[in-house]
Amino acid sequence: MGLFDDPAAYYADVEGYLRQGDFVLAPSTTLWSTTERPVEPGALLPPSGIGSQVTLLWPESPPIAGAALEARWGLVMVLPHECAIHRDFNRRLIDLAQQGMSQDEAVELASADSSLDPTITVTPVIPLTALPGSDRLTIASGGRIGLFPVCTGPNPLEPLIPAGAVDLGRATEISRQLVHRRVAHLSARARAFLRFKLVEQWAFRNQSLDADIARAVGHTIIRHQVAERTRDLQVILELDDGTTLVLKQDQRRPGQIDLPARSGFTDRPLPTSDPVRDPRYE
Amino acid sequence: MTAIADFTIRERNVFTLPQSVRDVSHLGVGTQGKAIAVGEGIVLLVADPSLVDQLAEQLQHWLDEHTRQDPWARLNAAIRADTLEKVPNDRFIAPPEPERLPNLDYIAATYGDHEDVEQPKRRWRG
Repeated sequence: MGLFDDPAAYYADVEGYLRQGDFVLAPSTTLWSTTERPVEPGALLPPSGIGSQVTLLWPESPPIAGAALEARWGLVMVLPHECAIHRDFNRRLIDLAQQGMSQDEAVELASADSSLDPTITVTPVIPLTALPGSDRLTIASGGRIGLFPVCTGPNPLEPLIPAGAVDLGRATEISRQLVHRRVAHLSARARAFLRFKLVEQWAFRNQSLDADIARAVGHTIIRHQVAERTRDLQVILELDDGTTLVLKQDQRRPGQIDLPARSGFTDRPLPTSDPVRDPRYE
Repeated sequence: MTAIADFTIRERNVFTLPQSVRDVSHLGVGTQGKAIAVGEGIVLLVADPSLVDQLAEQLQHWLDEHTRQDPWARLNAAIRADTLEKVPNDRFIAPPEPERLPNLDYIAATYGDHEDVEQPKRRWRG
């Protein structure tokens, strides 16, 4: 069993403050154009369970598009690291310490101030059954950018959380007061992977290549192959541990990866099919 | 849990039923039968007593199957039973941020855009 199908590895028993990777019950939202979600005005009902409702925010008034609010209530994941969740609080502690207050006094005073860190960012959990069937295996193993796999659990005999994925692209800022209950916590190892996925989604997609190169350090290249394709060159390195490292050079950006000049390749077969197919690099 | 009990349609009940339902069901003043309740908000009115047991069994089976296929069934049950952990009010105490200036040249070299290649055109709006 791997991290994403082993509840004992994926979840952890943690108590105390709200932290990154916690599964909680809370609302999340998406704003749509009324051309995408035509809806009549009307107040939403309090949720009776997990689900979503759509209501009109404002009608179309050219040139301004009409807006509809999809309000979901259900299982979401807390995205920010606890340093960010409790940022105002910790700044206040520093201020109070500089005023000569003891740590205990400062914590007590700052804890009583509910205006500190009033909001957090959450994003919804989507059951695997609601995701495209052709993609489920890749999503469940963590291979899709923007989707963090969710393991069924935390109790494998009576799981509250179904297998699924956290959709990192649908984050919502909500009041902390709207977080209803906490359902589960991620293990340290799963939290590490969450951070990798957050960076990959929001900031720096190419880190997977860095990780592959880092993994190759210390191994011996036992075979290499160079393949020229329409838009790029691929250098395929077979390592002594049986893994393969594929380096790509975009032909329109020859300076991007430090490879020999194209004219330096004497063994550039034009492949009839890719010798090594790695979906991460397609 | 299934509950079955007698019912009689009285005049004040009839007009709470939409005309289209009355037309198809022929439920009217004085109609008698059994009311089958199999879950929260689910009541079936049956005027033919010979169908009651079979319908109750099939409805319960359908509902169980529906619940089994609902990925949120257990979590919804836990929400209703209020057995989940209340959100803690505890705070995370972080070490103070170090006072240092960012190395902008390093950051630009490491995280800068490399999107100088020609992109295929995509229509963002219809």
